[in-house]
Parts: sequence; C-alpha cells; structure tokens
Amino acid sequence: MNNFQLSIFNFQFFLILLLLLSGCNRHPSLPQDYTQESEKPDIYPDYTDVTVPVNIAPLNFFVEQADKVVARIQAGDIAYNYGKGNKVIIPQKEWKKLLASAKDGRMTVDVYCKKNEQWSRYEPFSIEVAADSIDPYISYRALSPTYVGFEHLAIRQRCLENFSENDIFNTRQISTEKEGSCINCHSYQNYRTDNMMFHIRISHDATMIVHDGKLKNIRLKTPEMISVAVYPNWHPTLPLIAFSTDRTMQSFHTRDITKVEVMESASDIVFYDVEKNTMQTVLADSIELELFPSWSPDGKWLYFCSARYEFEALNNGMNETLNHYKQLQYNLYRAPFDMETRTLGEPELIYDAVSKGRSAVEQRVTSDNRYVLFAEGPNGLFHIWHPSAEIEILDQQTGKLVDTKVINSNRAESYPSFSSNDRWILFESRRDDGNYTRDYLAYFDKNGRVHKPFLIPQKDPEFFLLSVFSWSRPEFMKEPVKVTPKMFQEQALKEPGKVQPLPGQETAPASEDAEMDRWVIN
Amino acid sequence: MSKKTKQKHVLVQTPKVENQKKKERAFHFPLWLLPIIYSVMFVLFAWVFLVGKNADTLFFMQDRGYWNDSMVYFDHCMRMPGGFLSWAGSYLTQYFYYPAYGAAILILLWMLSFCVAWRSFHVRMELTFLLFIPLVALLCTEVHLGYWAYFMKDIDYSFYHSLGYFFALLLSVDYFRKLKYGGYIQMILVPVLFYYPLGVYALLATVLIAFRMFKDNWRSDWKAFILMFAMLGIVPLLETYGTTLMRPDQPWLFGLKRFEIGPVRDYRLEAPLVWLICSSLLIPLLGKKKDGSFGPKGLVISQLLMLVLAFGAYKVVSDRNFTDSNYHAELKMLRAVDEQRWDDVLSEFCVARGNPSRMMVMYRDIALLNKGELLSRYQYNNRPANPTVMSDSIVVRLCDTTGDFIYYNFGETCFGIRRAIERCMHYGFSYYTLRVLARCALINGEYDNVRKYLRLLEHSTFHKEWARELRPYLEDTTLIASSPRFGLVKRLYNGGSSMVGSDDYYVEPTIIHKLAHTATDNPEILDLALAYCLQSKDLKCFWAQVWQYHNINPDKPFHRYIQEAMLLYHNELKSGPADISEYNIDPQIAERYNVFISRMKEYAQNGMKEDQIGASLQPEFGDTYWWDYCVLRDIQSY
Repeated sequence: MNNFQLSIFNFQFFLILLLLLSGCNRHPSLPQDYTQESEKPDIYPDYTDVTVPVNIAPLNFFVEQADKVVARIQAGDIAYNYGKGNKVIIPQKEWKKLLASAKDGRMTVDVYCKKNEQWSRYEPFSIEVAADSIDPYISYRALSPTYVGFEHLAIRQRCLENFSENDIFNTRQISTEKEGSCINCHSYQNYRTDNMMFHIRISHDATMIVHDGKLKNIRLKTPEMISVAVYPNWHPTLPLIAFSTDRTMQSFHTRDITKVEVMESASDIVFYDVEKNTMQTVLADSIELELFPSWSPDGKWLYFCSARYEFEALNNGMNETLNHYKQLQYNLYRAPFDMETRTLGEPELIYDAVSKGRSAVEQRVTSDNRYVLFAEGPNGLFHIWHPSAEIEILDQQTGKLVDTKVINSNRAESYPSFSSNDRWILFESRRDDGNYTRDYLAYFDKNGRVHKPFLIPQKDPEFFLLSVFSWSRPEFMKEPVKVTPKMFQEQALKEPGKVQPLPGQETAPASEDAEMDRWVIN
Repeated sequence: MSKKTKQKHVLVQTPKVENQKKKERAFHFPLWLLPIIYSVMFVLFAWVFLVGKNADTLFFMQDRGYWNDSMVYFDHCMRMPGGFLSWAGSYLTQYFYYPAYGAAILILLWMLSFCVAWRSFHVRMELTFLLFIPLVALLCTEVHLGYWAYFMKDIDYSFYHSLGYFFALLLSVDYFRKLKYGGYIQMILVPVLFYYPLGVYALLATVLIAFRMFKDNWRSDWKAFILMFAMLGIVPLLETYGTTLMRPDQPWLFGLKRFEIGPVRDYRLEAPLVWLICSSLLIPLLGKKKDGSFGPKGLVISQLLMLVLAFGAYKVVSDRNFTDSNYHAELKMLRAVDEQRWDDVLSEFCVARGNPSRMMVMYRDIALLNKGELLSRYQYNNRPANPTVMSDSIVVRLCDTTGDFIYYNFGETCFGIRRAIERCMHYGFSYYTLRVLARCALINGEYDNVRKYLRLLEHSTFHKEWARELRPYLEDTTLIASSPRFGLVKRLYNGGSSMVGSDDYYVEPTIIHKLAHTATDNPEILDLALAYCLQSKDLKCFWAQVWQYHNINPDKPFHRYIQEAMLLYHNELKSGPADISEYNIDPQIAERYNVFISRMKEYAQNGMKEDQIGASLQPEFGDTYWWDYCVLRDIQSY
C-alpha cells in the first residue's frame, strides 16, 4: 500500500475510533424531568427482586417498550448509571464492584424509561446478593426444539461469572451430508471434568469417556442390555457410571400443544465400571421401568425413578405403551449402595407420585441426603414437553414437599440439579414462549426456602428472544472441560472399543420390538 | 538515461513506431469499447436467465433464507470460517424478495468483480471476455438448482460464492507494489487476517497473489509459491486448532458447497464452483507485460474465440437452467397459496404442462378448499405425475419440502410445527418456516411463541411488514376465528380430532386419513370429511360420514360428487345401506351413472385395456368421480 493509501486508511480508522468513543458514554446522567410510575419496570429478563450469587455475570437487561433507558444501580456506597438505547449493559469490572459491595445484602436498581419523548421513573427493585457462590460453569445442549431429526447441535460450556462460552463438542465436527450425528447426555463426576462423558449416536455411535483426563470411546452395549447405555450418572468417587438402558419411542399429538409423547416400553439400570470396562445389570424387574439413575453426593445411595407396568402380551410393548401412555407414571426410589462390594440393596419408595396421578423423574439429592429435587409432570419422562410439569423438592426429613411455587410457571419446567454447595438450583424451563428451553437459576437457602429464579444472564439481554436454539439438559461444573473439541473429534473418528459384560451376567439377547404404526384417539 | 542513449533509442524505434501508427491508421477500432460490449452482452444474458427464467427460484431462495440485524445472528455466522461471507450472503439474498432488485445487485457484484479483475491484473482489452468465464460459472450456480433449492443448508448460497470471488479478487490487488517485499507481506496478511471472515476465498486470494507475482517475475518470485503453500497449509490449521468446529477434511474447503444427500452426491452441481476457482487462477496470467494491442489479426482471432466462448456459455447455461414445468408451477403456486391468491393458484395449476405433482394437487386442493369448491377437484386433471426425483435417485417428498405449510392449511398445526422444526434442524431457520411456525402457533393459541417468531421476522428487512400485520391478532385473539386470513384454518383446527400417532413421513395420506375419519357435527368440517372419504376410498368411513351428514342435514341434498360416490359404492361395490333412496339421488346423475357403467363394461368386453377404457371414457365422464375412481388408481404418495 502506498503512503497515500496508508494515510487514508489511518484517517478513516481514527474517525471510526473517534465516533465509537463519542458514542460510548458509559455512565449517562439521570433524567431530571420525569413522571413517577407506581409499578416496577417491565424488564427482560425479569431480574426484579431475585437473589443472585456473589460471582454471577452482569445482569444486563432491556425494556422492550422504551426508546431509551437509564438505570441507576446502587450497592452500598457505590452507584453507577447505565443505559444504551433501551438496553442496560453493565461492564464486568464495575459489576464485580457492585456485587462485592452488596454481598450478603442487596443492590437497588432505579429505572428511567423514555417513551414518546417523555421520561418515566419506575419503582426501584432490588437484587439480593447471596454470599454463597455458584459453580462457575454450566454445560448444556444447544439445539432447535426438535422432535426426531437432528443435525446441528452442540454441547456447550458457559462461564457463569462472565459471558465466555464455547463448544465442548459440535456435531459439525463429525457429521457428513450423508449421515448426521446426535450428541447427548453429558455427565461429570462430582462436578469435575477430569471424569466426564457424553454419547454420540448414529454416525460414530459411541460414548466418549474422559477418565482421569484420558479420553476413550466405547460402545456401551452388551447382548443382554435392552439398548446401548442411555441416561448416565457418575458415582461421586468411584470410577463407576450408572446408566439406564431402555427402549424409547415417540408419538405425536394432533391437537394437544404437548405435541410429543416420549415413552419407554422397557427399561433397566446398569453399572459401567470405567476402569475394568465391564457392564453389570443391577435393576431389571420385568414389570418395572427403572430410569434416570442418580447417586447421592456421598455415593451411598442410588436414586432412580420407576414406572410399574405389566404388559398384556409378550413382545407387544410398543403398541401397548402407545395405548396406555398416560398410565406410564414414575415414582421415586432409592437403594443403598455398598461401595466395597458394589452391590445395591433393596430399593425403597421415597415419593409416590403415581397416587397423585403424576409422574416424578430426573431426581437429584443434596449433600446431606435431605432434599430430593425432581421434575413432576402428568405422565411419562420427558417433562419439558408437558406444560404442567413442575420442579418439586422432597424433604426426606419431614416427608413433605417444599413450597416451590416461586420457581414454577404455567409452562414446562424440567431437568433440575443442585450446585455442588447445594445452594443453587439449575433447571430448564419453557416459560418464556412455550417452545424454546431456557436455563434458569434459583437460590435454595439454608432454611430450605426457594427464591425467585432468574434467566442465565447474557451479554446481549435480547439474546434468548432472538436465539432459535434450546438450551437443554444443563449441568453445573466446577471447572471447564479441558479436553478440546479437536481431541474429542480425533477420538470420535476412531473405532470405538467394546464393553464386556460382568462375568456371570451373560444372558440371552434382549428382544427388539416391531416399529409402531398406529393411531390412538386421546 | 543519457541524452545519447535516448537518441539512439528513438532512432532504433522509429520504423517500428511508424509501422504501428500505420497499422492503427489502417485499423482504427476503439478497443476500449470491447469490455463495454462484453459487459452489456453479459448483463443482458444474465438478466434473461435470472429474472426472465428464474424469478420464482430467486424469490424462493430468499424465502428459504434468513438474516436478522442483531449481533446474535452476526456472532452465530462468525463462528465458522467464511462467516462474514455467510452473514453478508444471507443479507443480500433478502433482496430476491424483489427478484429483479436482487438480480440487479448480483449482476452489479459480478460486474464489480469484472472491473477489479480487469484493472488490477491489467488484462488486455481484447481478452477481457475471458474474465466472464468465472462469472458464467457463478450464473450457473444460480439457475441449475431445481429441487435442490428445497434442500439447501447454506441459506447464504446465492451470494456466498459471488461475494467470495469478489473479495478474493479485491484482496489480490497489488496494494504493496511500492514496497520491496510487498507481495510477500500481502500473501502473509491476507490469509492470516481474512481466513475467518472469508474462508476458502481468502485462500483463493493467496493463490491469486502468488500467481500474479510469479507471472510478473517468474525468475525471482518462484519463492512466492513456497510461501503460498506454507500459508495455505498452516493458516487454516492454526486458526482452527483445538477449537475446530469442522471435520478434519474441511479447513481448506469449508464453504465450497457439496450437493450431497444420503448416499448421493451430485458432482454436476458442484462443477461450476470448481470451474470458478480454476478459471479465476488464469486471471493473473492474462495480464499484459507491455502496452499495445494485438493488431488486426490478433483482434480477429481473439474475437472469434470470444464468439465461440459466448456460444459455449449460452449452451452451458441453457443446459444447466432447470426448466421442469412442475417445479416452476409449484414455486408459483406455493407463493400464491402463501399470499392467499386462490384464483392464481388454480390458474397456475391449469397452465402447467403434463400431469401434476402431488405438491401441485395439494396446493390446488387448498385453493379449492378456501373457495368452498373442494369437491370440484374432479373437474381438474388428477392424473398423477411420477414422483419427482432429483439427481437421478432422490425422491422429493412432501414432508421434506412444504409438508409443514400444507399441514397448516388443513388445520393440522401441531404436525405443521413438527415438520417445520424438523426442517429447521436440517436446513436452518428461514422466513418461510418462521411464517409457518408463527401461523401454526397462532392457531394453536401459543401466543408467546408467535411473538417470538414475529420478533425474528421484524429483525429482517422485507418480512417485518408481514410480522406487523399479525400483531393485531395477538392484541385481540378473537380476530383469528373471524378473519378471512385464519378463519378457515382455525375452524379446521377446532373441528379436527385430538389424536396421538405419527405421519410416518407421509403428508398427503395423513391428511386424507385424518380428515376422512374426523368425527364431527360441524357442517363445514363434515363437508370436508365427506370430501376426503372420496379420496381415501374407505367405504366404511364414507357411509358413516354420509349417515352423520344426513342426520344433521336431512333436507339438504348431497353434493353431486357424493351422490356419484354413493351410486358407485352402493351399486358396484355393494357397500352401505340396503337402500339409498332416502338420500335423494338426482335422477340425472343416476342415469349418467348407468351410462358410465354400461359403457365401461362394453369397452371391457371389447377387449380394451384399462388405460384405453380410461381414455375413451374421459371426454364424456372425465369430470366425474367415477372416472377418477376407476381410472386413476394407485396414486403414489411420497
């Protein structure tokens, strides 16, 4: 480039920089002339009167109906004004100062909105800042709210302390135009990522397992298993993963906005020993559909849910399941686990949802084994499709349910989990629009009280309204996944290893049912 | 240069200069006119193929595209190499909303590419026609898609490669010619800075720079090739290292379209992109080393070559241009159904040559349904076309193309949503699917979901008006049932049965089965159920609906075609009640039926084959249900 061209380039660059800087008034002044409104502002996401952890990312928000917004955020002696169009975008450094100042207390937010050249001031709202921190990372599955088809999906990890986010693995890395892949069911041992796993289905079908930082891919299927290993949960200390193995089917509604029913016509629970590469069937009652195993944090109990159903005709599971899908309802159980012998004791019923005409699934337990968090819906196991599904917490000490009205909505809630310190609940919800799953956090205090939940904060507060991806199956993590997408890719492209059944457990192969092809009137 | 040398030089050059001047005097053709003539020819040529022959495809491409003005979308695009091309390509594709407008932008982009190539590489004016070879390849990519347009995963396809080519040329201009190692610096900077925004086209620019340097001074700049190979090898690897979201084979070719579905890969459709890349590599070699022209003989030869290439270009583009009449009729009918221009749907159906595809039949029936004339479908050509196949073996199925929209129009909005979302999973979101999803959610009463889709459409350039038109229905939801726009679909939705099952990827049989079996006492829906019993040919279901209809409307005569079916099913197929006299069959219809049956039997006794009987009966009975029933059997659904 000659000198003239270079100078033009520099001049333009300088101009653009000047324009950008002049537009970046980080702390606008508050309007002097306004009318006082009696209600709180209608902000998105709704962060009014929520309780947040001391290490959360800035709670950026916007006011849809306003042309301009200025918000004054005050915590102790510190106060800042923010406003950029109708959005309030808070710089990371200043937000940290505000959080530190409001720790174990609250910050107040005073919002002024300009509409039709007229400023209004709304009732201030508060944001409680709990001293309890939250696990710094979550991982989730990003995909369209699909039913059967899959192609573009990723398991992503997001830092809750800021907005950094990246793919753990993306189906683009292995999918071809000929054959796509599905990735699902990511699980971590005790919130750490040195021991973790997720499944790859269809193309390069295998389970990716990171064990003590080393990566392998195994096809987790033995002849006696109903299917490959499905819903996982790592034992908190042992190299052992509990899986359900099940025969899944789907059917579609023509009028009910539930739209799809996911059903299991058979289901067992198996243990996979990561070190010995052996598979052991542990729960296989022919009239019980055992599902969603999860360990207590001390590793001494295996929690699971199960639906009792006796099929009228042998090998007619699928058709019968479709006929009786509303009757497939799950109760919660737990069974003692001997960590020495690795055997399960007699299961005990801990929550009878069926007697209430409901179905309880996806349970998680606090470190002291007192509270059991789960999703409850009308039937079946995929409650994210059931608008009446709710998050419930069972207090095992009293045998009663904790009041969770504050975190539920009139739309589907599902897949809840506790943070490693038990103080935060992460769950998925379709409360925003009914169809796209979003992840919410709620404070669960030491007194067993649940606080108003809030949407995972985003750099652009409009993000979730414009994103066409669901954030499904969120999990807490204490640290990011260290294995890179490239390493996962290289391993996925290798031939997967095979798992061995535990000696003495070899049985006849599980039967496969015929494809379902029929209609049932609701 | 000293005075002496200068003089000598002048003396030596004099005869040559004079000869040259003589030649120029004898042959006084303004060469600067040539690029202008070529450009005008190409613009007209491209305009005819784009706007004249493929305006419907261009509109369709934008409808199956998506862009929004938020950073969320920009960030999403920029995750992959070529992200800027993807973003800008999907932005410009929007302009095909007005096909002429979009085509003008595309052609302007091509002409800009031509100008950059011509001026930057100092191509001789007589040879500038060669610069149109890559542009003809790009034109082919626009007109040869056919049914692949339904299966494009690259919503930016229409502009992606044209923009990529333009930027590759722009980046290979010799900006640093005054610097000693300017070319080398440029060859390092271009891939390093532009690989992520421009993907494979940043690599193409690197190759063009190397070719240009080699051509300018091959003795010293052969090292440019070594640097080129190093940059091509290293940059994509380094820039995607660790965090790659691509397959191992993709860093060098990501963005070059592969036409592949299932086991089939169509290399024929990929050829123009290979042709584009290869032909663009010739551009640096066309540059002239010294001023001057070819002279008359060279000019004539070059222009003869131009004519040959022009003819070849015409043949190639004509050959690749997808002219299937059903394909174009389907696109026009789809748009007309979307805009509820029912008469246009029907006229388009009638003017299409040959037998109609199932997609056309479904669109036509939607139009008839909305005009309240569904049963008159037997007056149209119902002879089934063979299943549409692309790339010789892939059957184009309704559920993969417009099944969602067809479901919506029949009030099957839950299935419409399912098919739309499944499509999005494979082919990405588009304005088309967002509109289908918004309408389905509106009928289902999922109003917050509608708001989401309207918001996305409001962030686009040309679909925001459509979204704004729907806002009043959210403010007053009672308007939905009473509006001409949604009223019928809402009534179909309300009148339909609540069931759980699966369509098994067959849209048409699902609709026929579902509507024929609808249990209802709503007269409007019952009419429809009866009409679909005729299509399902389910006798038990038909008589049940006849009985229900007669109970509700004891004094109302049955539609002509229902009466025709009653006669056929009762007399010939021996089904239904013992006596159908209570249904008041029109004597004229009964008389005509007798003639039809006797004629058919007579032809059969004369040894005529089924298709011959059908052809003989058509002039007299082609408008009857009997003819459709007896002749058009085994209509294949797909």
